[in-house]
Amino acid sequence: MKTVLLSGGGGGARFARGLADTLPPGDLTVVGNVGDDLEILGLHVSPDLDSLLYTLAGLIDGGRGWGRKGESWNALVSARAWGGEDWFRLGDLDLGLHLVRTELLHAGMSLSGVTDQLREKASVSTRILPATDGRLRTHVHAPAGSFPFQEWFVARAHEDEVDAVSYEGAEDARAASGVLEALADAEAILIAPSNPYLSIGPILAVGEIRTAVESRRVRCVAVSPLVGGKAVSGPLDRMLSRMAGGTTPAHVAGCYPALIDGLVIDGADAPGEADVELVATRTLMSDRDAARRLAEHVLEAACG
Amino acid sequence: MIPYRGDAKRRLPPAIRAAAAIAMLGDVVAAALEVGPVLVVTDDSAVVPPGSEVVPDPGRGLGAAVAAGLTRVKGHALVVNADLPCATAAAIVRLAAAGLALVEAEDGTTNALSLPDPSLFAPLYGPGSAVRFRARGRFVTVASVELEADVDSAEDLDRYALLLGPRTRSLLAVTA
Repeated sequence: MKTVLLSGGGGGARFARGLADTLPPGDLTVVGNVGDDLEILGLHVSPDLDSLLYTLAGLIDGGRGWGRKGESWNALVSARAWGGEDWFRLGDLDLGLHLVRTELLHAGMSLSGVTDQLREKASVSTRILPATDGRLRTHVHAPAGSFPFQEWFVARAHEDEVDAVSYEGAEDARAASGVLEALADAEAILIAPSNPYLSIGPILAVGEIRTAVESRRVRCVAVSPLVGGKAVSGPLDRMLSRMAGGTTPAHVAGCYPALIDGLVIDGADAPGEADVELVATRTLMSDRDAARRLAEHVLEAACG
Repeated sequence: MIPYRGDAKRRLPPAIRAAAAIAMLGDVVAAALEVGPVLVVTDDSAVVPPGSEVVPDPGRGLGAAVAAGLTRVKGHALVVNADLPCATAAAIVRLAAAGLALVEAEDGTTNALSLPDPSLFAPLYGPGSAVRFRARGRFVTVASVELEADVDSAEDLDRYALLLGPRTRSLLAVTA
């Protein structure tokens, strides 16, 4: 079943691997968030695309949840000693990818072209596409001020409460090459258990992608990233409480108005009233098998 | 607060072991004194640099040493291990600004703690301690190469050469 998944890194990437383990090779296309991309030490870093690639290729450090297994940090130590920044962790193995990507981008290749080349090198059969090849950056607006996403998330440890999120460059952003075609061919559209504001929001902020999902002729099903009203990791529960007024399934579904037909929630969450079909299952992806079982449930829900 | 044990660095070459431990303590104390009053918890008061106050180490491990020091602190406490010769005042200030926070070593142990309320401390040191601190409370993990760079071996000294404080850096001439 041709399936398109909109996803951030982290839990979204683990869900993507569950889908890749379930679907025939080549049936899955993942559209990844680029709102948290950054330029640091002269390098273009795409944390969510990298988490997707590393997870699908089996390279991710599962304990840390980001970056590569077997990582070392000598380049960061050296960069720091020469006066460089150290708040964004770039490991030695990870740096190799950023060097290659940055060089290809400088040579004029699109981010989608680069991402596809890296995917091929990693022998990953799942297509990974950035939402846009243009520049799109998430900004977080908090009582203490407005911050580029990574500054808030990493340097400020996402401690500030969030009043609003905006997506710089979204107005002019076009969908990356291949995204609209994949959505048009899809037999199911899925939204990963990622943060609706920080991971999925930037993808849907691209007008062409939002319109394509709104005008879908197949079902679109999202997976709630909350378990028992709490975020498995990250600040989503605090953000939803403050910005949407609560953390029930209805509040999660409310992040996707007219965009989803169903929401898969965890059995620990009371369904309550919602405008979309709710399907309860076990959503915590404690290991690869759990991710695959969740993927099977979600694909069933997407078949209607 | 800086807990210090002179005999803790058994992986350093014997020729520089004692000198390195004292030099590293000196570099950490110098950085810390730029930030605020410094307590050194130790049973070896002879090597404690001037300007800092000595607290006797009860001798029951790192957790007990830190707990002993914390009884002398009112308000925001910072615990910085004595084997962090790359420590700078700026890095320590950044740790303090993070509130309840820790710095995790590459091996998962804990190099430094920021405790806005000293009663939030628990003696959780040892392998994997950063995870245990985070499980105990909402510790922010501060990324700071200067406070992550714990020195256990001659290789570490070479690796962090350009970041070392002046006392420890002078030892490189001996190991070269």
